[in-house]
Amino acid sequence: MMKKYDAVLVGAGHNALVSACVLARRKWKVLVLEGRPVIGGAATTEEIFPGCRVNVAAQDAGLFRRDLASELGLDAHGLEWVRPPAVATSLIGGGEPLTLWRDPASTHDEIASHSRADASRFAEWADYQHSMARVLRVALDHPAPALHDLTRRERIRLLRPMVQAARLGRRRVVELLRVLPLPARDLLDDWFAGEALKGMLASTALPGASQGPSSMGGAFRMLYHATGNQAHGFRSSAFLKGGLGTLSEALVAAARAHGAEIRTETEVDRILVEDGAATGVLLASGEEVTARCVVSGLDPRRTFFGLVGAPRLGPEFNRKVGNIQMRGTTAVLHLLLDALPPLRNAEQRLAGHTLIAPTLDYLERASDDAKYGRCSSRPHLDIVIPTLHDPTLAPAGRHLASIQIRYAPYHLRTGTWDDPATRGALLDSVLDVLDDFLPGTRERIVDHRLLTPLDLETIFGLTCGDEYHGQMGLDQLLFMRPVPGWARYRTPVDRLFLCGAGTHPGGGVTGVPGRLAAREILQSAQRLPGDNS
Amino acid sequence: MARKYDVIVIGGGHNGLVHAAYLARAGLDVCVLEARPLVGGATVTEEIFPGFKYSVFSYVVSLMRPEIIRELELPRHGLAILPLESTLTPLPNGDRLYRDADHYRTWREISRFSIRDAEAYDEYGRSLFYMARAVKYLLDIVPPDPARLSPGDISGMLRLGRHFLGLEPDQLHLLVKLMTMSSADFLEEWFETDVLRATLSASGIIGTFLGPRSPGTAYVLLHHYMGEIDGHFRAWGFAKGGTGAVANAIASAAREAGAEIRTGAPVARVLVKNGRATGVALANGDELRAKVISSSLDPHRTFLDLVEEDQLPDEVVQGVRAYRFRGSSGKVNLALDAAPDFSCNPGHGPHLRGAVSISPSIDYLERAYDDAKYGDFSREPYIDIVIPSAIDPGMAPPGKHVMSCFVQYAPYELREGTWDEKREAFGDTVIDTLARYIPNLKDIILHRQVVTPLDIERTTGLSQGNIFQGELTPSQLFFLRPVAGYAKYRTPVRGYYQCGSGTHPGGGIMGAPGKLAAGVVMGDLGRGRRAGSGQRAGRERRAGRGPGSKHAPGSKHGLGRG
Repeated sequence: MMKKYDAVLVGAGHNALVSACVLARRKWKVLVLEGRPVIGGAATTEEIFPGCRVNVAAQDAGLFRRDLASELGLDAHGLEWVRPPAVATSLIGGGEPLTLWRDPASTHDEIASHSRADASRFAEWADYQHSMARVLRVALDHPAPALHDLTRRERIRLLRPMVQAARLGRRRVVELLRVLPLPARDLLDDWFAGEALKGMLASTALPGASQGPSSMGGAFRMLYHATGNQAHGFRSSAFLKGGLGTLSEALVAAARAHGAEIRTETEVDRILVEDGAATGVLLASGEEVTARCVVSGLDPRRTFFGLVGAPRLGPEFNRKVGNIQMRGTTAVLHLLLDALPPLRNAEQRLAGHTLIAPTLDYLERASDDAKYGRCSSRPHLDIVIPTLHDPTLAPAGRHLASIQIRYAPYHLRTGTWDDPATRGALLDSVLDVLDDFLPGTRERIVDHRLLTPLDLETIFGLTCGDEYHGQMGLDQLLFMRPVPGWARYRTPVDRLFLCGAGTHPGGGVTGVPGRLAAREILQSAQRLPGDNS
Repeated sequence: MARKYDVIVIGGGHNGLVHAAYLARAGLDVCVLEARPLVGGATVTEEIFPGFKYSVFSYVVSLMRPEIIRELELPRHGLAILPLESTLTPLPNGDRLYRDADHYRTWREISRFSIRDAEAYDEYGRSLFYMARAVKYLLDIVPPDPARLSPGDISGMLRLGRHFLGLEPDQLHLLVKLMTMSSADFLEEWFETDVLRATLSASGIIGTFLGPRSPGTAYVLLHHYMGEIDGHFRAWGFAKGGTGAVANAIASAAREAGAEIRTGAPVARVLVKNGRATGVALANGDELRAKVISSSLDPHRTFLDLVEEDQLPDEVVQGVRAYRFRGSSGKVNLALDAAPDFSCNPGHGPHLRGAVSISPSIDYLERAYDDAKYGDFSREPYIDIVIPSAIDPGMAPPGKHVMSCFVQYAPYELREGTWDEKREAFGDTVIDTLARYIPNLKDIILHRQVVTPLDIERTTGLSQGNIFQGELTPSQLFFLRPVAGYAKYRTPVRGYYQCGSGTHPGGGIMGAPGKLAAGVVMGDLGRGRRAGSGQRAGRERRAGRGPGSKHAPGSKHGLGRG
């Protein structure tokens, strides 16, 4: 049978779609296969409540690289970015909320009402964070160095990022090396005094790891989450009219415009391998799709153990894949409200990220529970109210609130996530926290939907509910991601590539793994049989 | 006016003494100033209770660089190291995990818990042996400064790159994991038995303010694996006569080489004139002059106490302020009327001549850390016990024993109360914890000395009682120790140097900082060999490079162009 496609991509998450776009623009015949009825993976907007469009998992598109969006011409496909005046608001039980605004002057006044010293330092911090993030981004947006074989070609490829980084200042590079391993707590203690401010900034270090603010590597995650658009001292944050799903839809449109095919509700049963090389995929329907290469947007463990099969890979590699730390610690609660929670100037203040992170110790204790396999008795909440960016997402007068709950560990010491009691307990703890920090919310709830880490696994296929396809710890970065020695999107199976968040640089709606993977695939194209010109 | 020395070394701890010994051997006129009546700093033996000799603070020896032992001929000066033979980990349920040099006994013991772990144990030991060997390269070089582009730094970085990229890929990756992972996660990749993971991860938390589940602890694990006695890796030993014998041997070597050592001579401040150190002022008002002042005190005291801040660039002051100490450990030293009787291992036996580690599970250690995280000492602490008198009878009267208990966590900063109020409560907690494993303990205690982080700070001057002169975290290692730009033992003040554990390669009775710093001082003085950036002192010695090698990066800080 003749090879129909140049590349078949497994899964239509945003990274796979980026890869598909890049490849299709190079005249590749591309097929994207998605098991679910909707595309986008964890970056989707769906009708969870009747008449409502809800960002099911991911909320924020601030990390998506703007240069990538313009390179792919996404704005032409109807992307409308929303940057609300408020970046983030921290609710302090009883006290006045603390809001970081896009306008530095307002932020200064806001912080000054809590601490004068912090207010004067915040602008300096924002600059520092920005400059550090810029250096870090050089490392993230280039392929990870293949230290294990520094061929001449490798050395030359390494030069570009090194020169770029050096241009930003060698002292800065050294400072970044000092800062990256720091716990969020240490970094913030060196800058600020106010617990509320430190707590809210530290909350940006939590996604992607099961560790609290006192654990090393937090500073890295804080900066990682600031490598998108202007972070204003908090994190890169931007929303989309119509919900985050419109990003995925724009990617699909862009891919289709270049001839890519996208098939939904097409479950891939396994990846076909002949004498060590991928030849295509077998669909659950029994249909075989052959292609010159297979690209998986699924997480590494699911790709290798689920679709390829351990026996094909050899014990050493299997051990590495088995050792990838995958620890979902996030649950998501969606609320349909008949009005905004009662708060002075709510439309303004609640338009960004609304946080329950009053102190560093609050976050620390929340993470302690997770260490021992329990849900946080007092969880950290990250609330986004998308109806403030686009009222049409819900019926008139109604509001949506999507709450990221930390910590809700996938691996529970006692009980299981199937048990309604476990879900109920988690829901209660969230509502109790809301009663304390945003009273009156409970009364406004019309409908709710709780997604546990187990749900995230079953719905989106995220192993262990880890939305980052593997922890964002310092030990799983660069040439260590997804597994040591295989950081270049290639795998032990010839012509099988990875392009998901499990690869360098990692998770979050950045589009970078998909972009770098596609480039790598194009580079190795000459090694692939057949002619794609 | 008093005569002018070539070098004044502030602090008579083991690093200060090593530093002085090497400089004196190079023919320099050296004077060591120690505040306490005895030398050693944190490596002292004191007869706190008549007839019983306590290694009050540091209690085991292993990291001491073998070439220092050789070159200073420490054995001739009385240093004898008796190996610790085993590690016993008692369990609350009366069971135990016993490991010693006997490969098959250890295999059988571990296989009681898991055959798989027993099999993995050897490979684990081998891997860490190779890792330690790979990293040991760093112990012998002056860290190059990646932010400078002097020839020395560039060649140093290149040599570094060649060394590590020369490793097998798997070894390189293992090394990265060790540098970044938590000891619990790292060990989970090897073993399934909780107690084995726990007792191994314990050496990853020693001296840190981190729990076994905190990333970064795997490196400390490795740091403690670099121990070497007569070339045997992972060999922990006990100095005959107590840890103080180490300091005394080095001091005697230094004196023999002509160094003058003054005890009871606390230094008030370093005298600086037009950006150059000219001498020191003692607490009693005396002033001593020297061409070079080397401080073996920790970075906080070296930079912020001994010199005026206005002598230093702002970024250095900020850097030192951001440098973290956070003492987290204490000691309880006991004089015992008889041998302790372990319920898991009754009566006498080889286990008494080894270490006993109260680290029954990862959660146990993690909970101990959680208490400290919020400013309390651990209700159930991690305790590392050795019984010196069982190895060296001279430490206690016949039939009686001294027991040294290293305790974690004891946070320097308490949430409420002071250490002076909490000292005895802390001691009781330790004794109660121990009594669960040693039923006869409370009946045989003749005397107990409780050493809190505050006591460590007061007695030895170690800021916040941190036994490593600063945490061994990646942000404070190698070219970042103590602060970026000044990891080469120099300071912004010309003629003023650092030679303590607060500099590369860090804490433990290792002596490496003192020796490497001596190399730099000699180079800047144009005396003898100097350990240039990234150059192995050893290789350099063989190469026989003479005074002031090709380059003297940053020697404007020193005397090269003074």
